[in-house]
Amino acid sequence: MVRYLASRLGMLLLTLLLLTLFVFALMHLAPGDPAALMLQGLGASPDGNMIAYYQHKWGLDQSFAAQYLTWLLELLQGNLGHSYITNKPVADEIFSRMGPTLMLMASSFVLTFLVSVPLGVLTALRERSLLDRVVYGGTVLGLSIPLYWLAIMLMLLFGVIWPLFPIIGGGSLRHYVLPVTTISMIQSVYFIRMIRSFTLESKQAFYIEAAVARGLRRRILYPSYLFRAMLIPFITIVGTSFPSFFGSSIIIENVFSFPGIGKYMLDMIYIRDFPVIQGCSLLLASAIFIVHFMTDLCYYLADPRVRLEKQRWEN
Amino acid sequence: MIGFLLKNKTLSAALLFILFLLLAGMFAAWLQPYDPYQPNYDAKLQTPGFKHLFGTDYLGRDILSRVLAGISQSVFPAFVVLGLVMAISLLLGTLSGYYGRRLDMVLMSITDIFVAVPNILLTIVIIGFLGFGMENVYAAILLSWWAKYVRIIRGLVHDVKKEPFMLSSRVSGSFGIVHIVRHIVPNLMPQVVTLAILDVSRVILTLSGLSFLGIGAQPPSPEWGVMLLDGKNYLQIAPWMGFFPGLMIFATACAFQICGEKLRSVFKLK
Amino acid sequence: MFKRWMALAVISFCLIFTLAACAAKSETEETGQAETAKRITVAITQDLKGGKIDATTYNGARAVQTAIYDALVEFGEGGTILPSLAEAWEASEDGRTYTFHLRKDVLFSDGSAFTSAAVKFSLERTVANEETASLEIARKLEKVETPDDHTVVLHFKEMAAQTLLELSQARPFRIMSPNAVSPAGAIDGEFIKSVGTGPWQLDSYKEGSETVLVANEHYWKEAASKYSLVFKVVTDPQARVLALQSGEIDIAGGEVGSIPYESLPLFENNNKFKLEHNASTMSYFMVLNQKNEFLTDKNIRQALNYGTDTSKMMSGQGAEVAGLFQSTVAFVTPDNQPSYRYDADKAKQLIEASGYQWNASTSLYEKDGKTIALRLVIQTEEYPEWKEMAEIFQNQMKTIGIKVDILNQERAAYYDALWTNKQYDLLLYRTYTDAQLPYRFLTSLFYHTAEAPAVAYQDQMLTGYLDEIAGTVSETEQQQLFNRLFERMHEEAMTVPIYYTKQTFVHNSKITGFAFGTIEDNPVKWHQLVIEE
Repeated sequence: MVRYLASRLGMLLLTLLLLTLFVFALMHLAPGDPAALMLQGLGASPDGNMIAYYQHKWGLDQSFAAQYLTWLLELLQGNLGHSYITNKPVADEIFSRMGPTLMLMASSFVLTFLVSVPLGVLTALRERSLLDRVVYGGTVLGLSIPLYWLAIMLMLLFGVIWPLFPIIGGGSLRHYVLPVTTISMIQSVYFIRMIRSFTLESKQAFYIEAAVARGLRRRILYPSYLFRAMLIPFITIVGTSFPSFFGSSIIIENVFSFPGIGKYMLDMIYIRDFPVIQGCSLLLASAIFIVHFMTDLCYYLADPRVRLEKQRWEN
Repeated sequence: MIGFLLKNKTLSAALLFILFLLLAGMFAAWLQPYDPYQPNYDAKLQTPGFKHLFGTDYLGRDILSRVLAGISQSVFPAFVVLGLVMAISLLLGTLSGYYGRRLDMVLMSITDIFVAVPNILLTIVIIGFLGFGMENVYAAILLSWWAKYVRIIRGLVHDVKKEPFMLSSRVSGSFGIVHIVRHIVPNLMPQVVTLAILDVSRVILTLSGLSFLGIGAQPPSPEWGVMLLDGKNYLQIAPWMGFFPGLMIFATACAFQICGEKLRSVFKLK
Repeated sequence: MFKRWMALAVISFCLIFTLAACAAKSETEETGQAETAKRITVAITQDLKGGKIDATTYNGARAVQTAIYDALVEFGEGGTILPSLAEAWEASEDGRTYTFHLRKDVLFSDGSAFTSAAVKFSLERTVANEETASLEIARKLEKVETPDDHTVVLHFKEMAAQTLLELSQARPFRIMSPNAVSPAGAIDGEFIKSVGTGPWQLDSYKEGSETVLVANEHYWKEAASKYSLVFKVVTDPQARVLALQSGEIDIAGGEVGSIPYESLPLFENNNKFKLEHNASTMSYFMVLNQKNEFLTDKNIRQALNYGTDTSKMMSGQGAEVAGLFQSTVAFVTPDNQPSYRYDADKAKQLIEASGYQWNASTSLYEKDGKTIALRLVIQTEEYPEWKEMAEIFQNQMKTIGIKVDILNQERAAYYDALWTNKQYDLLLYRTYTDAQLPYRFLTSLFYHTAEAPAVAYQDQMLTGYLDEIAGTVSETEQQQLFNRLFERMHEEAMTVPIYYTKQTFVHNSKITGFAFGTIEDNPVKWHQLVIEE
């Protein structure tokens, strides 16, 4: 366990270092000068002196390595720096926007879960039934619909033609309905597919066949044999779904003008607010780490034979 | 073969659609009733009718002609991108899976990061660096997708390595690159091809999605994603502008899905 | 084992839910404050730093700044300066001393009296702010004197001809109460709350979401509003259209939150909505890169102008384009801005006169086997309509045998191309608005010195005119100089004018009393709006 924790921690640090360095390098090498962009945004025309003033103030006149090291040293002191645009601490900026995004992702996840688990398992248990064929057809169609297009259609349908829900902004619970529905619709398609396929696989296992042959009642067979065996693949798809949920919520936040971290991150990438971009990538990397860690623990809880010391891809 | 296709109506429909699509893409220049790039200010936003089967857009360009011209920009690049992704990951995946140890460890740690970061975010950061444009979008997709395939292929190599014939080939003195090329790669091919075909639709969706975000194809390109973006602005005024390219994206993605699924069940791939 | 796992799962779900529910609940409580007065909701594209609307900074949206703070003088039609907080003013012959006589009946929103001390405080605080260093007042102000409570005298180190224009802008020279900072009246004091003389005051602000204003009961000019005014952030143009239709937004349009022109037919002839049109001062034009091998040739530059049929832009709304500036811009008279009328044949003749030959197989002009190919850089994040304009332009250039490739750039890369790396042959840009036109706009793009080369076209003669304009406060002299300057710009074909913008607002028809403001940064007299039941 100690070795496991140590190696995980090492991985985390390495990941954080690599990811932030990668983002830092790309953003600094990308065209676009934060000072000029900020002045442009203010409506003040960017003249040389002003740009030089800000570049000096933000340390952009130093070499690339020096800038990254400064950032790292500040980070070690628990300081994420200040946003170029608002001059507020990056941590405050990020935390004030994290709530709505977490809520959005959590609710979409729960809805996806509630829809796809019963449907996935049911279609696999009743293979080739009418339900199976309908759901299968639905998933093929669903996998071919782009997320953004679905979002706009829902906005038009339930915001304008039949105005049931607000379509912009956040705040009240009603604001979550359409974004959550959109994300869940796209994600469930994928989940149903996966769950159906590994249920089918588990169903064909010899010990299940043996149990059926023994005449085991379904009430016992399903929960204690079948579902039990499905835990590991299930944890895998849940554990690896974080990036896609986050990716969807970035797009959805933009379409619905939803005030969350995803939209903020994109906006700041566009105006090259380096400290915020760095802070966000750090946060993202840590979130991914936590999810991986939890997934590993779940593997262990689900099946004590799993050896935590091994990396996830070593099997 | 023919009998098999006749029994599978959906599959044959999908294959037929893809065949027509590819032919139409190759001979688009002869099939287009109008010049897809030439504005006609007197025929703006015409509803679909006999003169313009799919209607016209905000510059009076014929949508049918543009959809046809768009095949070569929306569908064909998907094969190229996918081919490249597959080539890279086949190389790295087999090396990593075959040799293992340090190389494996390093490669897998890198893929860990690439797999974990949302693709859309990675693509946007890379595009911010490279600038807008279709070529850059291909590069961004390549960079954000390769990791997933390397891992799948590596897993497949591990499975193949366990097969008894591998042991016998080893015993008979086959090692290294020869071994990989002669015995491992051919055994991977069916799975890899299936994987590729299953993902054609995803690549098409991603390409058009990025164009839809305005960072891909440049105007006046009739790439379907760009047309969809135009259509979005005219959603309530001229819905056909977005409907037809949207339908094409949808239908193409569906057709490749169906073919991929069939192949998957034939090759018993997970 | 299974039970344990289930328990863990259930507990973690509960935790996530409660956390999320708490987050959602605390938010709804925040919004509850402004429920007392009826809300009029306006769409806005962004609201960076909207929590600290300090009149002496560039914080917050311009429309919000102008709703809270008044200027000493107001910018009127065609560049006339009108009284506002200052009833009258005099400028000395040498343009170094300005005396303002202030109104005596004005109160700040906190009930304190508006005096010369507040003016002195605001101006000095602005000058002390590094962000404003490039403005003329900030560069040249020597001292501010307050002989009595209602007189302010500004002394400059040298002639400051742009003073009145700069004072009239949305920011950063509007007047704020000394009580807005702590300790009160300190130039470098910390900003605590917005206290101005405008029709509104700040009630609450939610980052990235909304800014709520309530009426300033002490407003001096007209009756205060009965409603609260909400600026709601809606970034996506299409989302603004949908939000208007769904009734979540009452008003959208103008620079604040433009409605894409292609969606206007949805609101025309629809009795649930009303459209309001007003003139604007902004125009879209193309910046030419004179270092480009083709564009160094004046004939080609003129051919681009002759070959552009602006009447095709924006569904034929671009018919009246003649010259770079609109007729609403100061110093523009009906006949001092010559223009190139659309004439494709003339364009071709000019190209041929420069020794280019028509290549029948490519339908393009070429010289020594080199075809004329130009790269047009645009961005669609801020100006989505540029894509269509670029496509029309591209096609018009094709008919006169010039190949144009459109490159739609990310906003950051676009401005980099314009301001620093110059990686364009043609670049679609816009002029500034109101008081910044034409002088300030021209200096920031065309003023050329050896140390700081001009951003757009570099021309010694043009720079000379700009110097001369800065050296006089006489309006007739300035007018004559501008006449010559416009002539020079036309003769050299330094730009390709494309389109004159208009201000268009769409509002719910239950809102009445709509009136445009004097400048585009203060687009609507929000306080006069009434909700009809």
